[in-house]
Amino acid sequence: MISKKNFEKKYEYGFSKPNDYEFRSKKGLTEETVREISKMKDEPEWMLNFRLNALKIFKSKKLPTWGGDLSKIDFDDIYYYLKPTKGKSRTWEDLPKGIKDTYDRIGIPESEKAILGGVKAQFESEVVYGSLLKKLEDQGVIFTDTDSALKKYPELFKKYFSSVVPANDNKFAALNSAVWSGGSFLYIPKGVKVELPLQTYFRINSSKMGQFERTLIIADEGSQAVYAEGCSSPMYSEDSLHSAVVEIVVLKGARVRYITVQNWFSDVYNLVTKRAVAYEDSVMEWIDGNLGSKLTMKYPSVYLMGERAHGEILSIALASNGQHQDVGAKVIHKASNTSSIVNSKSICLNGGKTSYRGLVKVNRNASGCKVKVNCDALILDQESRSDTYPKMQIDNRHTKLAHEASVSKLNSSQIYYLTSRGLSEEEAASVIVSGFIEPILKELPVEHAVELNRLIELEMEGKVG
Amino acid sequence: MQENNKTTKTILITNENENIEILKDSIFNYLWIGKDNQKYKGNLTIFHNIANTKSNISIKVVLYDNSSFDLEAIVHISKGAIGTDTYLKVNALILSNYATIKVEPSLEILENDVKAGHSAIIKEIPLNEIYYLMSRGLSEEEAKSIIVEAFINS
Repeated sequence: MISKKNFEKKYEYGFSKPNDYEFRSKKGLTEETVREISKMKDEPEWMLNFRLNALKIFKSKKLPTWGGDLSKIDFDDIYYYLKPTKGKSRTWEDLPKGIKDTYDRIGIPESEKAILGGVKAQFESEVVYGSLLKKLEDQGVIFTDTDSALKKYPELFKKYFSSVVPANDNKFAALNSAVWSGGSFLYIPKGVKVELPLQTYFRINSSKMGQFERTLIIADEGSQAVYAEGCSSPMYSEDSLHSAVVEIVVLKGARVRYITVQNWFSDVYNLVTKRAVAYEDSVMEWIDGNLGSKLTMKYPSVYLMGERAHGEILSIALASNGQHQDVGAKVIHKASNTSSIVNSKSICLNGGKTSYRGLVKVNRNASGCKVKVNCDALILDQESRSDTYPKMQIDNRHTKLAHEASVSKLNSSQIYYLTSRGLSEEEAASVIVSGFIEPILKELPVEHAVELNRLIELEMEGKVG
Repeated sequence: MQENNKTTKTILITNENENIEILKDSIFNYLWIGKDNQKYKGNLTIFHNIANTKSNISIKVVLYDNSSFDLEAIVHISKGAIGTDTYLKVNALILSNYATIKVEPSLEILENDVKAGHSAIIKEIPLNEIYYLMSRGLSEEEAKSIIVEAFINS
């Protein structure tokens, strides 16, 4: 078993660079903070009112009592807005050296060389680096940070902003609505197919800082896009809060795949609301990898609003020492002949805890729906814990639902077989775990798959099944 | 394990909340048939507190008319209950446009040397099964009742 000290030494993305902040809001959350954020960003009146209203909702809602332990979050001990450098840079050379060094270690230039759509890097609370392939601009694709989108495309923005996740949806959606900054805005025009995955790198780089990104994706009729979001956050000693909202609108016949690999360091509370609405004949896919963090509560959801829409949620969760991954999936069938697939894999080790919390709902007026849910868990040692809470509510008889869950340890006969073929027990365990997550890994873009595999191998080091 | 050391029970669901502690290898078959305005809402909790026991739980639900069924079934494997082997199965057949079902088959596992699983299947009677029986001379009602009987007894 890896001791924590040992592990920290090995944690390759754990580093923190000093930063000069152009602006830093006062700690704590008051009306004044919210007004200040809105003023700093020079926002229209309606957005300020939206934020203030959300703040009221946030204050009135109680913390959820289910899921993970949230009682240790001190909302008065958090910076709600940080602005690192002036404006945004277009090219790599223009970036300040400290930020460049940090990115060099995650390998952003390589990603760019690999011609991956537009690389948008989120450093602190705002996008400071963005480059966009000319090809995308020519197709009419809008890919920018959410703050710029509010200024440049006010009508499109106002039409869809908060239409999927209203401020009163839950306490953390309200918090995000009140203090959001940064995030990505993506609009794909009618019939446009974006072939390259659009990528964003998120990083938190200051202790006691909350990140409240707001991402809005609109796929117009018949369009297609893949959006990939990856995180690897450096180490801190103090708790940090990350509460993002992701809204996706998939219009008639469109297809969106949203890929996330999150690897927060073990101090971070990651409380995210992710939701998509899918209209007629559209396809929405969430692919979600959760590693690290102290507590992750994330349930990507798909509302199937139009006939024949299809939703798919694939996820991997890995919880190690002191970590709780409370993740799952929600699918609401609101229209006839819609279908959905949920496939969840979780691994817990070194005293980690994984929970699958899911909801499948078929409304009375939705006929002929098909649902398949599959959740598998691996428990690698005696200190770890795995829970499964899948809710199913079926109000229409013409439904086909199949759900299956299994929990097991590493299969000893498989380990014997592999050791008889010359592998060490540790290697054998690692091979079996790789095989366990393979169905989801193969859906990820190659850099994410490699990174995820490497991180799981790192966690598995010294582990014998 | 000797055969006579096993508990096999077929139970009609009546209790609203039921807690069962598994002390030896057990098979439980639950059945609920809802008619008219019958409503069921309850919890079933299966505890595995001791080592090396097996449990196999089957819950069958048939829904007619305006009936509704709402069950939270938890299998809890406590620390120390190594060698537990448990499987919980929910099978539901919906026969009416107005019936509703809500199930949450949960697992809480605090030990790693175990096997645990559950499955849920919710569907209506496939039309081709009814057509097949009707092509053999049965009325639609007869065909349905045979399929329901087979579902309950399988």
